[in-house]
Amino acid sequence: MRRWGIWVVVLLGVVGLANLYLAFIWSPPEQSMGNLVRIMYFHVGSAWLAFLSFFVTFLFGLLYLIKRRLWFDAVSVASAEIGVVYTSVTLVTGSLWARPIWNTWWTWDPLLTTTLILWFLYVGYLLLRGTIAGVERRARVASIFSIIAFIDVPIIHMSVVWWRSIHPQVIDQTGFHMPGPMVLTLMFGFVTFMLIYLVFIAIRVQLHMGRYRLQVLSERLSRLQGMHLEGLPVESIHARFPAPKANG
Amino acid sequence: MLHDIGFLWAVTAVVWLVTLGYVLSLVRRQSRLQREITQLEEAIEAFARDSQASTGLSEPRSSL
Repeated sequence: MRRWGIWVVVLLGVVGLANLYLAFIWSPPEQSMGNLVRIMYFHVGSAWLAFLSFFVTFLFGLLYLIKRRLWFDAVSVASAEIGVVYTSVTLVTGSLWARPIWNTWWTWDPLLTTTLILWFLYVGYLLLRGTIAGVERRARVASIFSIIAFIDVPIIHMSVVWWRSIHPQVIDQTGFHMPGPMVLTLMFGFVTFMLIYLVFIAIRVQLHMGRYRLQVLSERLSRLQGMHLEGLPVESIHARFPAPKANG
Repeated sequence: MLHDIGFLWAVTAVVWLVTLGYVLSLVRRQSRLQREITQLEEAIEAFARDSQASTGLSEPRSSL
């Protein structure tokens, strides 16, 4: 397992460095934006990763409601957390790109606003989970929430069609509106982010299943303590758990 | 545009530092969880041992 982990880290390192090489050196600068166009490879890559994460959250939320297996819920929450991280990255990198290009850090553009709403929705999803007691009830409510929240993803996609947007649309139904090396760099970036996602989801699901195990062990200990106390004579229980002494 | 290149470095730093931060957060949470599981398993084992011992001691008392 440890050996496998080392190979994954090495692979990610090589792919990550190749991604940096393609983004910074190999791909050409753009006519009006110059080298700032290179921001696209990180900004678009993280946005795609976030959307993929929320799709997985939606899909596994749906599967949980059908099959009622806790593993599906673990994948759903793991993916939502990764999605929130990379939506945050998308918003911050978008803002850093907007400042030199649009001369503003933020504008209430439909695409930006709906993406911000998406971030709030999934932060809400994670917070909601923390407020619900009971593993199955939490999973059920969170799954329903994740299905409803996912409606925002196609709205983000269609926002540039439905409303007037200043956000550039370099990819649409007709294809990529950029030179070949840029498309290749963008796709390589997506593969890099995809690998990162796969590693993260594997670790995060393991973490979540570990929490279930912790809960089971904790319940087992409580049950053992209860059974033990029931079987013990009263004086023995008093000896083990003495009553607190009254002050004064 | 040359003076704006700092934004490109900032974006690169944000993406990779956030990724690194998330990795560290996962590793930290995993090791804490593992520690808690080990502690609970030890507690259950100790309790089972203790329980056996105390049952042995309590038998003569209960027979009184």
